[in-house]
Amino acid sequence: MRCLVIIGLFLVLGCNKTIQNSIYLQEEDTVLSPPSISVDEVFFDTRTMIRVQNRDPKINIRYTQDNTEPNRNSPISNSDIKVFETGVYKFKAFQNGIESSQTVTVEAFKIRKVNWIGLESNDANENYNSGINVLSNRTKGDWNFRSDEWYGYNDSIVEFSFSLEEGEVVNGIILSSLIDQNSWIFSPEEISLTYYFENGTKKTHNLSIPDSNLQSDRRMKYLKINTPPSYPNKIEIKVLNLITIPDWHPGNGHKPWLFVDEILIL
Amino acid sequence: MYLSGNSYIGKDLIIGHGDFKYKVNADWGNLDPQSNPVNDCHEMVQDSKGRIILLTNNIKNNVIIYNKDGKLIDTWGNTYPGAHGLTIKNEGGEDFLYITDTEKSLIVKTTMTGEEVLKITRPREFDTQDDQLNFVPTETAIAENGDIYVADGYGSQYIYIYDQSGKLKSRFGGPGDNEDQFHNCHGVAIDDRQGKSRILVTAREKNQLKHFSTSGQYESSIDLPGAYICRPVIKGENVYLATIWSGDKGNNTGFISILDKDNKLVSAPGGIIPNYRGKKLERMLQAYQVFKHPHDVCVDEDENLYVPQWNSGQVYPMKLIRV
Repeated sequence: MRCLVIIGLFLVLGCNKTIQNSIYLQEEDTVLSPPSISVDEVFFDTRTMIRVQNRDPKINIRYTQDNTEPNRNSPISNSDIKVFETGVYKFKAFQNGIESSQTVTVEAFKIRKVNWIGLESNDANENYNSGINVLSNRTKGDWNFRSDEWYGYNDSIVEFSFSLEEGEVVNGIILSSLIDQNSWIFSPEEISLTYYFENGTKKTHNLSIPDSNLQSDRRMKYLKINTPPSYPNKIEIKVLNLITIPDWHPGNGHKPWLFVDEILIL
Repeated sequence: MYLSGNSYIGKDLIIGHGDFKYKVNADWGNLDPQSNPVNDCHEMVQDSKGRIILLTNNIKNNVIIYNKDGKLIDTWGNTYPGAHGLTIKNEGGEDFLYITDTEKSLIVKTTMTGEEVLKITRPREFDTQDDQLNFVPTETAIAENGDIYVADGYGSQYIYIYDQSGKLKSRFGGPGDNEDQFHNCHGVAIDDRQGKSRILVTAREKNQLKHFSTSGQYESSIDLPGAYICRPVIKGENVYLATIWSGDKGNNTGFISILDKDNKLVSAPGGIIPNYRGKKLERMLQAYQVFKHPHDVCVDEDENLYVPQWNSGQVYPMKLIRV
C-alpha cells in the first residue's frame, strides 16, 4: 500500500509540468488560418478542378471526401484536385506545434444542362439586380455578394417560376444561396417546390430549414429538394424567409436578405 | 519543449519573413476596461518623447498615451465619437496631432494635451443644388510646407489638399475604376524616399497603393492582391501597412504588409510567404490567426511594431518585437 502511494505521488509530481512564462504568444496557443480553397466550376458537366493554395512547406493541407473532418492521417493535397463527380470536400491546414485550422468545406455538382424558359421572379433589390439571367448561367457567385453573379432580395416571400420543354425529366432542384449574417444575409426557413403538369394537376414538395435563425459562419448554402422523377411543364419555387432577423443579431427586427446565384434542376 | 526534470518551456511564435520577423506580445497595451475602455483601436503614432499614442473611438478616452513598455501615461479626449485617423507632425519643435472624425465629418489639429488649434469641416465648394458633398475623412498626411492632405476614404473618394491654415487648395482622385481613382482611399502619406515628395494613397478595395505628385498628378500603382490595406506608414526605406482583411475579405482575417524600397512585399507578419511570379505578387492570405482586422502600424525607433485593431472585440493594441 505504501509503495502504491509513493508511486502515485511520483506520477503526480513527475508529470506536473512547470510552464516557464513568456510574455510572447506561444506556438501552441496559435491557430492556423483556414486554407484557401476554390472550385473552378462548382456546377460542371464532365469535370472540374479544386484549387488548393499553399506555398508554405511547413503547412500541410489535408482533406476528406466522405464528409468527415480531416485529421493528421487524412490525405495531403497541397496542389489542385481533379473532380469528376458530385462531392463534398473538406480541407484543413496542419503544422507541427500549431493548432490546426478550421475546416473549409467546398462542394461541386455534376449537373446536366436542362433547357428551361421564361424564368420570372419578384424584382430583386435594385442594388443587387444584375438581370435574372444570372440565376441560370451556371456560374457560382463568390463571397462578394455585391458582384454581378448574385441576385439579392429583401422580401419576406420570393417566388420563381419557369417552364420546361416537353418530356424533360426533373428529379428536384438546388437553390444556390449565401449565408453571410454579418451582412444580414440569412438562410430562408422554408422552400416549397411545385410541379405543374400538362393534365392540370400539380404536386408540391417542401423543405424546412429549422436552423435558419441560428448563428452561422459565412458559407455557401445549397438548398436541395429531391423528388421522384417527374415530367412537369412548369415549376414554381416559393421561398419563405425569416420574418425578421433574430434577437441575437445587431439587425434584429429588420428583414433579412436572401441572396441567390443559381437555380439548378436535378 | 521539455527541459530536464519537470520543467516545460513553450516556443515563442515568430511571424514574418526575411529580415522582418517578430515575436508577438498580444497583451502589451492591456488596461483596465472599466477605467480605460476602447472600442475600435484605429491608429497609433510615436511622439518626439518616444511615447506611443493610441486613437480609439471610445469617447471615455479618445487618446491613450503609453510608454513603450505598455504602461499608461495619460488619456484625454471625449468629443470624437468617430475618431479614426491619427497623424503626428513636429512643427517648430512641438508635436501636433491631426485627428479625423468620421462621424462628425471633420479634421482637428490638437496639441499633445488635446487643445484644438485648427478645425476643418466639410468643404462646401463641392455641394450641388440638390446634394451636399459626402465627406467622411479617414486620414491625413502633413507635408513639410504645412499642406494638409485629407483622404476622404469613406466619403467622396477624393484627396483634399488644404494649406496649413485650413484653406482648401485643390483635390484629386475621386471614385471610379481608372488608375487615378479610388474605391476607398483609406490612407495617405508623404513619401520622401526617392529624394522628392510624393503622395502615397491606399486604394483599399482595389488592393493597391497609388503614387501621385504633391499637386495630385497620378504616377503609378502598386498591386497587393489579397491585401486590403489601411494607411501607408513610411519608416526609413520601408512602407508598413496594416492589412485589415486578407484573401477573400473574410471575417477575422488580416496581417501586416512590409514593402522594401522598391515597393516589393518582403514580409507579411501573420500572413503567408509573399511570392512573386515575375513582377506579379501572388494573392496574399492570412497564415496564422494572430490578428483580427489590424488597422494601423506604428514603428518605433527600434523597429518594433505596435498594432491597433478594428472590430476585434475591444482588444487593446499589441506589440511585435523584431527578432
